[in-house]
Amino acid sequence: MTALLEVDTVSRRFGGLLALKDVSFSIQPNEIVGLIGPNGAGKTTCFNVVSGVMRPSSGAIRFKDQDIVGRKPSRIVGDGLVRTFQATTIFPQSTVIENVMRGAFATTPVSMVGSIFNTRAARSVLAVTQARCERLLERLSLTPFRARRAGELSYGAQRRLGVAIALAAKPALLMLDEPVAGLNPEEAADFGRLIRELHQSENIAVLLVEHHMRLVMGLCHRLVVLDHGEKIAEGAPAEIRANRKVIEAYLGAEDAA
Amino acid sequence: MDGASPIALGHVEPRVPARRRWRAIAAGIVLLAAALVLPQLTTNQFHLHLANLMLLNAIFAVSLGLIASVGQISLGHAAFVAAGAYVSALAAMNLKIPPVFGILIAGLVTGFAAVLLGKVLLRLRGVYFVLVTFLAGQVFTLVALNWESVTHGANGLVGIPAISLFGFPLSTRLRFYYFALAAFVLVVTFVWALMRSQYGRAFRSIAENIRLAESSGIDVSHYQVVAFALGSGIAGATGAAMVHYIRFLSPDSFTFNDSVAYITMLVVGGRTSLIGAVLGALFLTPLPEFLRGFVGAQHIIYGVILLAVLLFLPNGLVSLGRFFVRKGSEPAS
Repeated sequence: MTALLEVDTVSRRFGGLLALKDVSFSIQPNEIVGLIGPNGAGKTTCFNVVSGVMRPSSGAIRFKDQDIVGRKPSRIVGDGLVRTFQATTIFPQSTVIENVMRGAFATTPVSMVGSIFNTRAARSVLAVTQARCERLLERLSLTPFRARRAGELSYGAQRRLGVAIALAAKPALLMLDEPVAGLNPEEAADFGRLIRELHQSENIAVLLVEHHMRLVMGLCHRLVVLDHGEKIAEGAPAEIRANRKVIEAYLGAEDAA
Repeated sequence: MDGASPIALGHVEPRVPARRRWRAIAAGIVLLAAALVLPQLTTNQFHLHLANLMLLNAIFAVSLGLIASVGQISLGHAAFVAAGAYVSALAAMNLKIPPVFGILIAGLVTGFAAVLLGKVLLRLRGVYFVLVTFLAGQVFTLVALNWESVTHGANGLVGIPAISLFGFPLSTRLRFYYFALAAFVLVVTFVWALMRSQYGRAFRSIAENIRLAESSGIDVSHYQVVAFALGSGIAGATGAAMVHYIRFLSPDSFTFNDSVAYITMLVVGGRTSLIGAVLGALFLTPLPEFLRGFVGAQHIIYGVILLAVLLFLPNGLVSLGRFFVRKGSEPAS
């Protein structure tokens, strides 16, 4: 089975700081991978580089066997690689359903000119998209809020909406940046279950940056551990938990003092 | 005077309740009928002139609102108006191109210039974009002033021909009024359709959350250029139409002050809606004339009115109307 995403010796430099150093890993279709590491390890940089928000200083990124380095983020989304952001995950002034319709922008095959004239063809394409978005709301238990302004939703519901917006783009790989940050333990557990369900029912691969260790360990098939911009370990959660280098990275080496 | 159907640009729900929609269409027809008949009832040339300026300013404000709908405020809008005016005036005077075609050419030239300029300028955001558009406007005025062999510098262009439709010259204020009204209805309808379409969805997404828009597959730089080019092209074509009405053009005709005036109309009327832009222009254009009686205090009163609107109606005059509509036909959500 060929990998869905291949990150190949990617480095990213900010002036004198090497934020990522020769990081390589891959994600298979239908896999949930966790990207973990202490604060400042380069997880978010890695995310930004993979999703096209930043260019890598060197290295290659292949998605579905195509090099995506230098592509606009909006095009990468069209290819099926969709990300969420840590904080700004919604359009706060707009209704919930409109939020999801915007997420479906790249996957709505409507002629732009047709939509100006509001032709029958354009209306029917948009109706199909709308029906799909309504199903997504149903799926994420957001239907009761569909006509509410997104900014009025509770924090937990806003995070679910963020995922709904991402799902509307029909991702093959969904990248979630700290999806449960700020949620209470119960909400976080619910969110974990939701991600697993979506992974199974929609057949999508997931790459997840998260600090919530219990969630990561329970959810991910495989973990990639970064420290100081370098990959220090990779493997199944049980292996990572026992990995000496990982423990040192998180807790400090015994003989460091 | 206002032929628009009152649908907000802000958050268009796909299904407008049928009753509200019919009410909106009926209101549009009544306003349009009034706009068609009223000028026939007056012979006051000054009032007709004011009506023409109101229509033209409304188009300028709407076109600026189109640019603003992607979250960018241009302080150089008047430069595009002036550029369109120069293109059409020079084409008519030097090349004998009929003004009707000159207006179209002006729209295309200014729209294309905006594409080129936008590709560079729209990388800047917020206050940096505002500053650079301000400078671009100033540079344009200086060029118009100093390129005397073409623009006649500060002396300006005199004797610009009037628009002529099928040999029928629009040389009186009343005749131009109907042309301006048609242009106004055309532009408002176009912008309304645009904002209702996937373009509008992309524009609003970008204004609201630029990062999320990009990661939702909306090509931010493309749509920003589209909005900037359409808004500037409309402004250029309308500037051209205006110069064939005023029939005189100098570097002072459209300056930084006009750019600020268009922004003021947009803000006072309501930034996020089509109706707001129109209301702002219709309210502010004749306001100084109504204040003529208060010699000495007119600017103070003007300022106080502006402040009062911004203080009590921070979302612009349009929120007055919305307040009533909400109360009338929408159950509390």
